[in-house]
Amino acid sequence: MKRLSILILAVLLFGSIALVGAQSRFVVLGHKVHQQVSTGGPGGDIVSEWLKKAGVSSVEWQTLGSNNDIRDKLFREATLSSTDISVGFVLNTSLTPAVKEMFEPLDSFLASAPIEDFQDIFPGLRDAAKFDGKTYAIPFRHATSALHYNEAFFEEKGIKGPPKNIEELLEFIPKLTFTRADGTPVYGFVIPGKGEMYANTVDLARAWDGDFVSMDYKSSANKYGMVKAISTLADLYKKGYYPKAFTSIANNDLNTWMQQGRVAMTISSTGRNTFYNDPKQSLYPGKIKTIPIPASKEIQSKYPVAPAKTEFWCMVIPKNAKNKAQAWDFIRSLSTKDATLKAALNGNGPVRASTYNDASFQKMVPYWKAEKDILDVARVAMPAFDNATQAADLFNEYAQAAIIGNMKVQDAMDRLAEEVERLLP
Amino acid sequence: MKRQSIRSGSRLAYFFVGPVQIVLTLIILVPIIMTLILSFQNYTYGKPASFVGLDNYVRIFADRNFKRALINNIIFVNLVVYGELLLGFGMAVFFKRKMALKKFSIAVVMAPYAVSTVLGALMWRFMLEPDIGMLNGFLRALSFGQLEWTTRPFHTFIVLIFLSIWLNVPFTFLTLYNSLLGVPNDLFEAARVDGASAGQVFRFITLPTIMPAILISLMFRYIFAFRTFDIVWILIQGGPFRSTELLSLYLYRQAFSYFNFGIASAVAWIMVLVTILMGAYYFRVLYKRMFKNEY
Repeated sequence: MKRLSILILAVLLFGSIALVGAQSRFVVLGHKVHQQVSTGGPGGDIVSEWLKKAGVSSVEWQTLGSNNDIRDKLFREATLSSTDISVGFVLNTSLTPAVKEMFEPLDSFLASAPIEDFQDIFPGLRDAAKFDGKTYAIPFRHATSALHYNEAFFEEKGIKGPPKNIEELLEFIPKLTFTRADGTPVYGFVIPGKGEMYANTVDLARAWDGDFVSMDYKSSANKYGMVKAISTLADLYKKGYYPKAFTSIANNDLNTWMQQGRVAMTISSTGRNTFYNDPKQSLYPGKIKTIPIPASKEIQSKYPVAPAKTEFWCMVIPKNAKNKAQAWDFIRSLSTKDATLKAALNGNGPVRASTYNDASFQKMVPYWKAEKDILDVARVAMPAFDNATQAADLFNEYAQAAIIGNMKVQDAMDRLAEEVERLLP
Repeated sequence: MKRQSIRSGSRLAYFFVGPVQIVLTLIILVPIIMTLILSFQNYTYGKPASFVGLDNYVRIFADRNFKRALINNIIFVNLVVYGELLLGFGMAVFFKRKMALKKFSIAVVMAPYAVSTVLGALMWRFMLEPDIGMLNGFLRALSFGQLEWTTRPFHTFIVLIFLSIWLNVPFTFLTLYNSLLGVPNDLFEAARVDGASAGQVFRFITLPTIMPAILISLMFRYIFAFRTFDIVWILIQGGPFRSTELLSLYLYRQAFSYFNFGIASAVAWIMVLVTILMGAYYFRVLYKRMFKNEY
């Protein structure tokens, strides 16, 4: 009898703790980097300020390592009858017209409790989170592409860099493709050929203002800019200036290549500058510089720098979330000018133009000017549509075949454009 | 009295074993049935499921990527399974003899089975790296050229088959080796006395005796090899240009990249049916041997 009483008391105690815990849960699902930039670093903890105002005990961060994992979990949660997730982070490329139906339109929240100076957020990012005129997500972090180059190799080869236009960049590549004294081959220019290859190749195509799918949903793979980009890579491959391993090189692999000095120039997000120059991991700390992707002379009158690709993480509220008002308050708090600046000082890619005018941010981010110049003209790699992932896989198929020489470039791009056209809305 | 106690004992046994059986049946059967139902539906995130009949199956068979993946799978499975069988059997016969350092040698042969497939694939990927990988460097040093597995589909396929065999041959070897050890020596002695040649001994004594082990090994490997996903995905994600994509990768893309859950379910069922068809002969032979005593 005594044991039974103790058992019952224990069950009641733990049950009530669980119940109380469940009631006060505020769950945010995202990438580890979202938690890091929001809660720690030179800028301070921007979430703790909201916790005090909102009277919430803590934020439960559920972080995963990749966009695919986050997207998978968020979408599965959003299909349930209800979810514990209050706010989810989603990459703009995953926010398609079909998927948006699972998330709360935010216009009524924007009207009743607006975000501070919403127009300060870069228009390209704001607009990409809209469907049928309604806003479904608020941008939080951008990753915008730039050209990174190894200054040490330029000095070694006597090249006065960086390239002022894409034509000059292409001239530099043969000179910067060599074998180091330790026998390691170095390539002048490499972009990843595995995974979402279209996103990386679009960056190169933008040097000629090219696209894979234009912003008005036209299949553009066989137009001048993209054909020029693929032809360039095919030519480099044929002449031995492009690695045979390119089809197995993913973004992470290329980051390692830059750190290890196996490539002289690459295109990746501006934030990689810190990573490439990390003295603990890089063989060339302080020698990797970041500039906007140089545009072709053909378009420099319109675009001083290439309209590079930008991707961004945004915050959404699942339609089946339990406390949407509180979720909106959280989003609003993280989107203020002050919070954006603090997150930027913590290493976040800020989505506000005003952040770039701040002296402390400029001091901390040596490439701030390049990043701002790019963001002024940047656009997303591809507009969101339901069959975007199939289109991306088709790109891999035809682009790889064209670069290797299995198909003629124009033929491959024509067939690609035709197949992608069928997938477009 | 004895019959009653046996019956009540059986009832008691069912009572204890029953709940577990029910849970297992539900865990296995319910997803199978749900997948079958889903294969006749059009379902993706953000839209309710709608019945489309055989439309998913029609779309799959009209998709060139599926056809290529199916052919790749059939070729891959047969080369891998029979490659493992030949190699595993050869090793089993080799190790049956008396030899020095036998236990150490067997441990070396078994070592790949202790390596996780992910780590194994990563290890070989780095060793086969075209520019700095040690294996390609070795081939170049011997003037054998280079394994262009990142750009030539035939080379990629060779590497995938090699990797699969390397990882899984220990299983086949172990199965056949144990079976070989179990062949009674009396039979060999009797054959020797009767003047049988080595080939006749192998054909009329060894092979029939270990045939059940061969069939079981083949069946298991067929089933598992057909589902191969990890090594292909880690190495090159079915590239170059999706030329080495297998059905498992095709299914993965449909389900987790494109969110076409109806089509992915249909692919899963097609894989089950093809596996059954490919293994049917072996199932039948095994059944006859084990339950009908027919050879």
